[in-house]
Amino acid sequence: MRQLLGRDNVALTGSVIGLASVLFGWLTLRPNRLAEGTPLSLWDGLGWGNAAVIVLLWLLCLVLSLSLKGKLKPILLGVTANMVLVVSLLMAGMAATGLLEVEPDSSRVSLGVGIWLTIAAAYIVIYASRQKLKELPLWQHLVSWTGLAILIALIFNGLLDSLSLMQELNGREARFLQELQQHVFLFGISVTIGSLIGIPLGIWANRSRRAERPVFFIANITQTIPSLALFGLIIAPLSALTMALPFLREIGIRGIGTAPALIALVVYSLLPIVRNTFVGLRQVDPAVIDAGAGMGMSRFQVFRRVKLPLAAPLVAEGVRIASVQAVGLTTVAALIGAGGLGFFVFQGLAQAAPDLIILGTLPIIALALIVDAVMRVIVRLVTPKGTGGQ
Amino acid sequence: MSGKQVTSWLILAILTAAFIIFIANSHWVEASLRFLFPQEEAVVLPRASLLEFFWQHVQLVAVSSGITIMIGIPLGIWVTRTSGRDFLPLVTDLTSFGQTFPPVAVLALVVPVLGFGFQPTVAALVLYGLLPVVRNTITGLKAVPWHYLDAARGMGMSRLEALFAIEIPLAAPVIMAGIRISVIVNIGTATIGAIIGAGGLGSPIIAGLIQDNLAFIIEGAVPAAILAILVDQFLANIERLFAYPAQA
Repeated sequence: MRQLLGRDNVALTGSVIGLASVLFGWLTLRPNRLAEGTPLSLWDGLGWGNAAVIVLLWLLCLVLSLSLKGKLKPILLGVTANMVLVVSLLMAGMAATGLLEVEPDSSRVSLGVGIWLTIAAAYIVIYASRQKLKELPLWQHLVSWTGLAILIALIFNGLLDSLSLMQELNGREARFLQELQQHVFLFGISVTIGSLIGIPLGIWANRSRRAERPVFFIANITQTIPSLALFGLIIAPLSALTMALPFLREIGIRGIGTAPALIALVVYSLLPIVRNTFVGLRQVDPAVIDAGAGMGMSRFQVFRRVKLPLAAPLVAEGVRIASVQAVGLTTVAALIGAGGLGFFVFQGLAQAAPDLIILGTLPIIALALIVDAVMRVIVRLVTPKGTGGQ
Repeated sequence: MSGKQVTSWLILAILTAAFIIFIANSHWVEASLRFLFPQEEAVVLPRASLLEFFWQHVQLVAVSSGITIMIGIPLGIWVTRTSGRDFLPLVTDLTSFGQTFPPVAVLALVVPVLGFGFQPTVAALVLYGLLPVVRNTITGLKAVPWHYLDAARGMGMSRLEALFAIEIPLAAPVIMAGIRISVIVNIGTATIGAIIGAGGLGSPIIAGLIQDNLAFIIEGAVPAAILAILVDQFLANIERLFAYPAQA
């Protein structure tokens, strides 16, 4: 018997959180989009039958995480957790449609604490099963992404449209796309400029001892300053500058807006890029440089064909850190009128509209995760063969 | 302490004292802002004095960093013990995954759950601030060479004694570096916390942006920047106290 039982503590924790989530409010019914809502329990919100399905799925997870051994266990756990994810959101979407038919027109149905907890718990279980599926990459990918893919399909088919979160998007689609574009534009341009300045600065700091200290001193200090304060500190001198030089205003540079946002974002991206370029160049084995020089390479050739390729992974890593950070900082830029997805976040905060806040925040997090994943691929691509990578 | 360290503590103490004396004196603050922005009608936000905003900010950061350290270090220690080892990969991945999240996003998401004000802001700051503290605690403890622990056990130390006498002192510089990152991020995020009603030095900046008053913006931005730099240097000095002299 002992041989057949294998407890998985992480999956067990997820299952317990999942079962506990059942006790919290699953849906919140509001008379309008800003009013305080009344929480509806799992059974009041979704109906007894649906509630039973979710409770049973979580019980199944609990039993699975306590029992079984071998390859089948993580697969079953992962599949069940994905089912919980899809089923609970689908049921919530349908329940919301039902509720809106009987409630007054201005009513809104939001997701409650319980359903967010269930989503988090499902991801803990999915994570636990992923860890155990390292030798079965196909299953690992299926377990990781199927639930999410089905959810995206549900959203595009309008099955979740009755949820307040989706209703906030309705009528804002054009603005949403425009702000998304502005967000990508702002952080993309600033990281590009940051790299164009930061990489040469890192090379310079590596070459000359005299440059090293001031370059790092300034880069460190600027990174320490709170983002909102840095935006503020740039606005005042820039305003003064545009007052003094009217032609700047003619080409669209003003005290607030895109110009100060770009300057601050570039400044912020410098430290990770400069630091990683510096460290990347310094860690190149002197013996390899010697070998290059011994082969008759000039100093420039050694730099171009030996040092730079060997430092490239760390430089790219610096650009990755700067990019992920810039996605978040660009959000703050909305406060100084530069637009971007932060626009919805701060509008939601100003109106105290919870679902608008979530609508603004989720794409920012998604964007940060996507940028992180893409940059990790780039880091791997620039890692020269035979250096082992990271 | 070396002479160099004494000098750097001394400089830091003088600068901090000068900074606090300056912002405590509302006449000086107003006069200097008036000098910079003669065109604005009001140069200081009437809602509260700069010292009050500063004090709110310090409270926000102190409370949240205190809670962060009290949760983060034990959590990091627990997942490196036998009892918590199962959770080590989950916690390590969560801390690196969580750092991909923008701090503003965490701050914003706290509002639908906990509402506006001081406490929700502290909750957001703690949540985000935990990441570097937990990660560095784990990194620091895992970097302790196993043969040191072997030697400690051989000397008859219990696991608990070895933890406090060997592991934590050796991991201390890395843990301190994590605390430093956490506190600095908290100071920055707390500035944005003004938007969700936490007060602090972000309040004049936000008010200035809304009312298009450059003086208000500077009233908040300059002290916030100086506060962050001073605290960063203070923590860097503490970090140096923990650093071990290079092994002979």
